Amino acid sequence: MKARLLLIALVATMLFLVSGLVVAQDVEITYWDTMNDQEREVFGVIVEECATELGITVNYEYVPFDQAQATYRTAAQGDNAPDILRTEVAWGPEFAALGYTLDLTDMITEEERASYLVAPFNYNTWGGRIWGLPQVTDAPALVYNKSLLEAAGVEVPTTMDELIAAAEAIAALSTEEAPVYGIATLWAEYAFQPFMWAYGGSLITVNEDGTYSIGINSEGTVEALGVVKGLLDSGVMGPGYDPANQYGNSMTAFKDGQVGFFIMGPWATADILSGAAFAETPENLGVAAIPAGPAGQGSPVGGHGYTIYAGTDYPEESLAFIRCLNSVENQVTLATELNLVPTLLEAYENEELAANEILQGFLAQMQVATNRPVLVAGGSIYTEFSVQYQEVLLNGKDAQEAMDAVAAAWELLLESEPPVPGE
Amino acid sequence: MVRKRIAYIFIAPAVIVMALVVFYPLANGIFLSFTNADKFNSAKNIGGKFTPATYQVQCGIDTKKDDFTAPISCIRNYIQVFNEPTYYFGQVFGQTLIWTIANVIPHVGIGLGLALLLNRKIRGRAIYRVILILPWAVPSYISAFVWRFMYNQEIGFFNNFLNSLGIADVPWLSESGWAMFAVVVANTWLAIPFNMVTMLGGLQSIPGDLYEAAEVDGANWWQKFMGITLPMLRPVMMTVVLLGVIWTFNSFNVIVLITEGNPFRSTQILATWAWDLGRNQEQYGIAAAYSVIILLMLLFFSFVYIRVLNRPGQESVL
Repeated sequence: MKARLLLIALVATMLFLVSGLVVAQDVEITYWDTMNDQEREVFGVIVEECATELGITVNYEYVPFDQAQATYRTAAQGDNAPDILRTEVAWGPEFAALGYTLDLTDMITEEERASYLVAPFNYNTWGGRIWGLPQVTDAPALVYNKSLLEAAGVEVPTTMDELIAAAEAIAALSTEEAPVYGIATLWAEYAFQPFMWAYGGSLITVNEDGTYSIGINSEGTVEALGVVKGLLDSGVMGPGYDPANQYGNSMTAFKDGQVGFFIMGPWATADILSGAAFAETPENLGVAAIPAGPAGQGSPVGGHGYTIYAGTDYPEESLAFIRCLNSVENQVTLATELNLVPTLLEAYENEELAANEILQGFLAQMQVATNRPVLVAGGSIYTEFSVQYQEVLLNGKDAQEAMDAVAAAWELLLESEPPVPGE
Repeated sequence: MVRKRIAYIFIAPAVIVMALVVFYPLANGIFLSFTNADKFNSAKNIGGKFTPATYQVQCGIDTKKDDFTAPISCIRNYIQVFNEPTYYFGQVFGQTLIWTIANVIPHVGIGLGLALLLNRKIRGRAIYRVILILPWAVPSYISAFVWRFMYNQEIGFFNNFLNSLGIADVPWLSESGWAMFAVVVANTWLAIPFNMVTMLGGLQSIPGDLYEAAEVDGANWWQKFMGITLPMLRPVMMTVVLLGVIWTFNSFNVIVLITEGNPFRSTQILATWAWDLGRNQEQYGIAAAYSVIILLMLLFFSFVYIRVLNRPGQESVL
């Protein structure tokens, strides 16, 4: 009797161990997401659905956007990186050049490539190879509070001068107790770029002979800095520039109805619509393209793609998971619920999207947006730009001198730009 | 002999751990400071595939940046730290001095003041001590985030409070002077408990009969303080100052978590700037050279300080 019990116990233990081994062999993928809270509420459901559909375990982990680049670098170097990362467009070339991300060229068919919009897809290529699939594309547009425009008696502007005049009219509604600002921006140096292009400045241009031209210290940029500083100092642009809290403070002020125009991207619309000025009346929110200035028009094209870690145990499964996340149906869900701009051509055939005014506003902006340089240094150019931009606006540093310093720092960056493989 | 061997066995674990977590990284850091290490040539382990580092000691290596030859080129990183304007050594060093001095004086002053207050027989002394030690019990990153929130220009506590008194907004984190002031205040708040407790311990070790004798002689409070308390407290205070200078000079989390060195680099100190160069700009060689320079500065300071402290006839706990 005792012997039999012992035998049963032994068999049970072995079964348990064996089943443990089987479970351990299941596919387990880690996905690092950088989406904001509102986006993850919708996207988390899609992640779960795809994990169930493919019968895999997915560790869905959140890494704050502003830390993801540096955290991934460290993790990838030591074999601790997630199988899949939501990669901002500017990070892609650097990760590819360092060998962190998997070359997907041979896994992606021509047909699949052709199903994407060209511009966002090109952000995922570097050196003629494919390193990722685009999830969303975006460019900050002119988001506005319709009732404030009405109260100030201004129309949606079609030129930079009109925008400034309208912003001034809105700021004039300000009272002692309740400040009203004409125009607000997301984090500062990034949202400054539309002004820069409007007045004729530029970032880095790759010439045909492979050399680079730096346009950040051109007259146009300096003029644009003067315009923005004037707006900020006169209180037309606000809330006050506080670099440590810029993004959050601007969002709060716009959501509360204290701001007329807001230079902001599609990713924030779900958050904006939860604010006091829009929760009851979502139709109060308008979106248009940032108007042209005397020397041009533009807005930085950003966006995010999915990349796979070069050291992953599950390249095929990871790609299958990405394809599921990136299905037309899921892109349409993100577009209808969050106003995120799809990257698949087929998503645009959806009727609901055609009727979505907010999304159409962002699409109008995409028509007049500017691509950022696809360089390994592309992920690092804002470091010095940000410091000098702050010094001009907060410390009264001469704009030309500051932008010359940015250009000097970029020259150093470009010196260590590795040669593009295959060229 | 046997007793010696046992002693070695007892200290072995500590020596091994020290070697692994202190001496090896230190030696590696010093080595890196002579190399051209950056993100492109560092060792990588990707999916178990190990790529060894290809950076090298810079003796005699040609670069586009300069025309140094050996042996000068061996210390190229150190020369660049001082000479290359984009590494901002002068500015950041100046800010580090301001930061250190502006911190240590109130740390010691307020710490001593609170210790004196708590060293008297007052009702609820135990409760006061607990309350005053609280900043130490809260993880410093939580405190730092709370301070950052309070400093918010638009919705922070301080500006709301000032506004309610009819005073205009203060640009706490967006004006260089105010930003430095803001991080110094937050760091002081965090550092006071240690200084207070240490000096309270020092005060309590002063024999009471000295004060009794002074009272018999008719000394007043100030005379007792200058004649007994300060001299008797000197060894403890000197130690507190030395530790305070080293910790503050090297302190990292308050600045990184509250201002991130902003606005326009005006609150960067050597420790945070070296980290920024290493982690965000990935110039490992330069960042290592910065770290070695910090180490040398602190070694020099400590050496001089202890020499001065241990002059014959002076008592010290060091």
